[in-house]
Amino acid sequence: MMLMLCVASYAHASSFSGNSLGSLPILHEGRIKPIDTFARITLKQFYGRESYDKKSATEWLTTTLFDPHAAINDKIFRIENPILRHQLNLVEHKRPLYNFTEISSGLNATLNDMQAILQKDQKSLTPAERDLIAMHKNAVLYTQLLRSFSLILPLNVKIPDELKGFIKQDKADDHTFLSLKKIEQIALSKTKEIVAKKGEDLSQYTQAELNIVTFSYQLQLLQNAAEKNEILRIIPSSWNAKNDENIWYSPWAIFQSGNAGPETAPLITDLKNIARAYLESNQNIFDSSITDYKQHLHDTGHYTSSYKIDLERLVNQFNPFDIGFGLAIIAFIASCLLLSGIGAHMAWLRHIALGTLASSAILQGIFILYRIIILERPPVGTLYESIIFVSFVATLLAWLCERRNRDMIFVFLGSLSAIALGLLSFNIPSSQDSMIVLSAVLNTQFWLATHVLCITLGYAWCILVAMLAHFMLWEKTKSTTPVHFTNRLKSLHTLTLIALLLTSVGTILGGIWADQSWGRFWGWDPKENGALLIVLWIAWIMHAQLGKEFSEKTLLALLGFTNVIVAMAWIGVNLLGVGLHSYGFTEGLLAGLAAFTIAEIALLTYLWIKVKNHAA
Amino acid sequence: MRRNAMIIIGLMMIGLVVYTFYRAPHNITAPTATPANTGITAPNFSFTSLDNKTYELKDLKGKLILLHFWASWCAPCVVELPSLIKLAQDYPDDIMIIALSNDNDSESAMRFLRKESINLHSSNIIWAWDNNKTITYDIFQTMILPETIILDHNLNMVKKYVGDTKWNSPEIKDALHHILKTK
Repeated sequence: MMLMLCVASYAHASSFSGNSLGSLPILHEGRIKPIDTFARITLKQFYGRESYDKKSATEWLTTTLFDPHAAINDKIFRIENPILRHQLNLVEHKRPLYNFTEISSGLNATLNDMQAILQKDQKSLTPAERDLIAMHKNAVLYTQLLRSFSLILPLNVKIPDELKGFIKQDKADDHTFLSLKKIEQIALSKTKEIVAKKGEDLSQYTQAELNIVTFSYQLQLLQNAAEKNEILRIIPSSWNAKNDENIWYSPWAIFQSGNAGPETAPLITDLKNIARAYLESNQNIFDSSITDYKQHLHDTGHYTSSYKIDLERLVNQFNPFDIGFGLAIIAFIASCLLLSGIGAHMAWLRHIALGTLASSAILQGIFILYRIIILERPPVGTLYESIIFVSFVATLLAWLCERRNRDMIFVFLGSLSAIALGLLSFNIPSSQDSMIVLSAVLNTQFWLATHVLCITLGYAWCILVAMLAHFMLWEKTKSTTPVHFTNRLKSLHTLTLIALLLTSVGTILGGIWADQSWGRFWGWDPKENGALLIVLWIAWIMHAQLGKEFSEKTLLALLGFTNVIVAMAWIGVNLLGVGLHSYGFTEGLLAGLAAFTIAEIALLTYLWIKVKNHAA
Repeated sequence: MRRNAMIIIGLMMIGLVVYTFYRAPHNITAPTATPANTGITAPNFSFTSLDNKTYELKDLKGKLILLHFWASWCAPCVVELPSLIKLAQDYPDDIMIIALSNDNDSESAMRFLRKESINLHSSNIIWAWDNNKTITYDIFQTMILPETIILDHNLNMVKKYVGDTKWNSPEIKDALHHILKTK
């Protein structure tokens, strides 16, 4: 709060848009991305959404960076936990949203509690304790953002008359920390003289002396508050190899670490111009200064992938996966109408169903391609990525099957898979960037392209097999006479064999990768066991089918249960929190997985009993 | 259907394998204590030495230049100064040091040099005062003292040393020899 006293406040035109700031690159979580993405991630972390008060995340961030006085009144801290609200001594609102001023005193009062909590075993923390830690982390991040540009923003400080003669200021240049830093030593020398002469009792100082001491203190305060302010990494270093996009610094850090150089100067000038244009609500200069900044970045040679930034901004606006999800819903509704007989006489509905399913697959494919371009690696490094990949493959496969069978069943199954997997991807509990840089063991292009892709392709096939088995079992319950699906069983058999092939090859490739990375082919790791479980499950069913050990309804029920086996191997083992696949651990999905398993067991048992009763 | 599925799987696998081998792996380099710049030419500037001679950086081309930012009020600067002077004495023909003082005025720098009995008229050290800190702050964006930028014979900035540096250490001498050899 003291810092705010040093930074000047400006009235701001409401028509001004700070959106162009979103096109600047920033190094965040190991990846160069547009500030637009950074703003969305950060705002979501505080507020739970990617826009605030009808403002885009970038506009919110622009205010936070350039006008901290105004920003601290934004109610962006969402505190759902009533225990935490009570602990922070907050007044209850209709919506649990608070601004920085409101939470500050509460956070200060809980600093001792935080020390005690941090000493505890992290696994034994209560939800309120976890939320308190998260709140403190958010507050630290937010204060870093508020102070990110405090070295280039006009300061609300009184320059002592005695020092004015030492400032040779460019015209139209404000009194910023960077310009006043030049006279800091003079102010410090004079402060030392004053203290040596009159001691530390301020009441003994003349007004002129007090001005000098206050000025020194304010400059020191700004510097101290900026220690370790490293979040806004927007400036590449002049002192690292060209095109090495991994070493960028925040405005404060580039000076404090000694990594600034002659190439930094035009970038700092541009940032000053951007800040001034924002504070004066001068849209043209704001936008042109951002263009200048990008040009100067190009001139340094440190930043060459501007097309990626533009592409990512475009996808932030129009996400092909989201549109594909919407089309899958249309395909699902159309297929339901056709299968139920309601749309039997509407030939165009068949075209719509097929067209939307194909478009959904194409858009999902485009989304995966986009991620390959941005991340420069195969698209299946995280749980989220594996879900969207499986969704894409299942949709595409269903469309291909439908072209052969032409009975709308695969449109129904494919669209249902896309919807279910889409919902799962939207609900993965994470406030972080979905495009993360992988841990070293995973970031191996060859193995990601072979083992992981093979396994996830296997998951997609398994899901379609299970869905088809569900559908066939359901069809059996609807008919009063025994139904025998010779052709459909052949399709199911083929799909199951391919699923077995992919999961088996994928598991063996995983063993070879494990041998190279960890020095052993097999270690009974939960993830390895999960992959093996799918292989054994399908192999068991196929053998039983060959030996005619099961009736058709039992075979279908068991193949339908493959969904649960895949869910356990794919997501379930991540909940155990043990084993070497620590990059795959996910919290917060346990309840969903348990509900899914129980629902599947109940559904399959119900269908199996109903078919049995029919047959009887 | 089996044929279609096989074609799709085959195409996807071929595509990904081609992509995998086409893309070269990206190495991530860690920052070093004394980071190297890959040869960006230092901007030219003029300055006046404490013994009242005017220089331009471009006129000093040909030697290995140590552009040293210091101040008499900066304790680490004072600590490292003797080893820097010794380095200049050890390489009278190859190395030129430009020691730019960030003192509040030129008199403070002069007073310090006199007190330490440092010769103002050395053949390969130019003692100067950075008036209004234009060179230190505005051109080289230096905020932390002491700091030394190494310029090769073509005035390319090849290395930077931030903070107190032991100029007589074998590591530093090896680094300087390496730059001298690449003449």
